[in-house]
Amino acid sequence: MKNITTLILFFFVSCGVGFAQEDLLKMLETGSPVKREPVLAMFKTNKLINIHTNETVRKNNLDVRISHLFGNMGQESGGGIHNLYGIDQSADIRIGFHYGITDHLMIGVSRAKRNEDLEGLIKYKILNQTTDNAVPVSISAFTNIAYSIKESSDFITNTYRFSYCSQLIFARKFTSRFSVVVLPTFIHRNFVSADDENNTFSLSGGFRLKFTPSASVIVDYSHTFGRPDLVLPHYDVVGVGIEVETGGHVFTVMFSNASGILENDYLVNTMDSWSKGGFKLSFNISRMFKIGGADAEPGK
Amino acid sequence: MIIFKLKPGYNKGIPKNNEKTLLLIIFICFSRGVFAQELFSVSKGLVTFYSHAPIEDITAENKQPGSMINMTTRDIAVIIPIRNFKFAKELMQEHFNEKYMESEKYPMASFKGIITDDVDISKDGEVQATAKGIISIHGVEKEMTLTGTMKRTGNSISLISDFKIAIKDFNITVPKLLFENIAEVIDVHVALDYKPFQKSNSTK
Repeated sequence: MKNITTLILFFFVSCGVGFAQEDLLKMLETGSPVKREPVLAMFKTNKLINIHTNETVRKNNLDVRISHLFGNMGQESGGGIHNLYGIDQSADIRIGFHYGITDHLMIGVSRAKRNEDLEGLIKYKILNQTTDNAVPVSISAFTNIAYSIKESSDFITNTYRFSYCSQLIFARKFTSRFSVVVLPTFIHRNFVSADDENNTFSLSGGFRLKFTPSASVIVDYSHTFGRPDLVLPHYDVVGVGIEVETGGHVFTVMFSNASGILENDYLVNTMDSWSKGGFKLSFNISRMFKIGGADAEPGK
Repeated sequence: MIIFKLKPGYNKGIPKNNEKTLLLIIFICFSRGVFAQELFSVSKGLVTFYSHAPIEDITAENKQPGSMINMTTRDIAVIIPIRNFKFAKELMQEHFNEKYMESEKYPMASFKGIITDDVDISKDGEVQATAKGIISIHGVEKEMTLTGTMKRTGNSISLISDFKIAIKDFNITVPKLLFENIAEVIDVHVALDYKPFQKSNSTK
């Protein structure tokens, strides 16, 4: 008899206890469905070293980008101590303005010194990787038109001054610290020398590895298929750099053998080789401004 | 208490006792049902934080906190999805998620505690309540005592609490080379409205 009572008591108590210990936090966590959110900040900015990332500038934001590519560092490629390893030279300078029409659509204009190009560009985010991996990669499309205002007898008609670059950009953020980007490129140049080709295909890849919340190592590589040896052989483009984000600014310091900063140029004209000291110090400053569109009032 | 009432039946043989046991079980089951009504969950909530720094004041709001209170055990739990904090500047929001809170790794902030039993929270009216428990932010757990106002009006409870968070305590570091100015101590304001918990629309 007593046993039964004990059992009942035990049952009652265990019921009560079982209920009291029902973990409210667990209930809340299981009650809230896994949210599908776009993965944020796959890259700090819309370019890595030489190549584009999948990122665009947000709506109503203006990214002012100043890129400087010094001269070759190695003696063999025209550098050396006499010009402070290329610091005295500027192989290329690009000043660009990239503006977000929407969070997915970016337009921009730029000037690149080397080929005396004026560039107009569009980048569109087609897909964004999601936190639940339902969309495993981000895809963006990029295209530009460059118009050279160089004084040259080569440009018999104005159409010769145009070149076009189109890219499909695939990116994935593997961990919060590590993101990868891969992009095929098609370039068409209206004017090329007799033994060159108008259409070229390239494949580029790069990654970012964050070593602090604000600083990353960035690397990118580009190979262009079937480049003929012109005056000099063409080399693959390799860039290695450090990127530091300071809230509104992104500073990048890097080394690269790229001939210039514009895709339309370096993907087809890189004749400097790392092994011959043909790499250059380069830096980029990106400053984000909010233009138009009132600050979203939180909670309204 | 029920058990005491059953005590006289001890000497009256097993069959009767079984009957009563059954009754008891039914009663317990029933009473569990009653207890379930003592669970309250958030119907509307707002979490705001303020960072006051010399150069810039930063505010962010989150309208999707989840919370439950067990009126019987006085247990309280709150979860706050980090991604749902909205800032005036989207870039700031991105940095908040990516650099400071690392919301991919730590998507939720939470509090789990017990409302201390020096006030009666079962009756209508307004009381100053204290909850002791563990707060978890950015993967760091810390014991904390939060104070606030609890107001019960019939079937709804509203809770308001203000407290301060020292970001250092939660392993959140602000790089020295930074143009965003972030306060070392953040003011947090929580306002939660509760309704009786129903399984079907448990959390928003």
